[in-house]
Amino acid sequence: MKLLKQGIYTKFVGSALAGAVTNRLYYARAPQGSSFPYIIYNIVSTSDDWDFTSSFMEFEVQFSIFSSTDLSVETVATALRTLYDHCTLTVTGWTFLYMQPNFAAENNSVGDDPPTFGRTISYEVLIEKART
Amino acid sequence: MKDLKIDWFADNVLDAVQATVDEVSEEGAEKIAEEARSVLMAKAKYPSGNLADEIEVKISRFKGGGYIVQAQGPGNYTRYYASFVELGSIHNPEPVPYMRQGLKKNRTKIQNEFKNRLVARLRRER
Repeated sequence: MKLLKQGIYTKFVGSALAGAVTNRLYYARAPQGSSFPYIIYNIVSTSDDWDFTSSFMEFEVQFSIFSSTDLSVETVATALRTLYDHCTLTVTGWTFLYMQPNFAAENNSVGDDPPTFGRTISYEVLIEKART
Repeated sequence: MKDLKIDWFADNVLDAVQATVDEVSEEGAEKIAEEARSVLMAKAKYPSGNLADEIEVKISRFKGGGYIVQAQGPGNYTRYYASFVELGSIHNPEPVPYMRQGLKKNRTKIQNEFKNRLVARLRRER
């Protein structure tokens, strides 16, 4: 959803996280030859719900950090969690309810030459708007 | 007067609860595995079925650990890309969270099943 992606990116711009990855936050895939470290994010699931008065949309947003060292991944992961854990996003036209971490895992490719290190951190995001 | 003692056969109740918990845990794990296989076949980029066949339910080695669902679990596989499909990787950045979806779709159903089955079983033990 475009508006959610805008909210995520707006939060990112000018943050310590943006500094830590030199603004390399990409949706779905990184450009060929991107320097480390960088972050790819995906909206891996979307569901909607409603009650008598409101519509709700729930998303699972996954951030994948990649770098050449585990230390660098750790630094970026800390900055990412500082920025997005339980944060408030601006999603135009919707009332933002929450963004809460629900999963984190290491995602290393140590069989690669040179090895790459990764970390996956995902969030549940819930937004609401009045039904018309 | 001697002490009055009443045996309410607590062991029977505990056995019944344990049996029900085991039963629902195993069925719940099977449901999660089935959903994970289904998501994988529907959404994976190359759904050959190999990885889906390697999603299995096992008894946890830890005491009280119940049943676990694993993909390409230890000692039973020759490939090791299950986590790269689930999480994405540097070579394939689009994740297909089949295990997480399997859990998410079934968590509430399994919790409700625990409740319903335990209540029914305890009624029978009265």
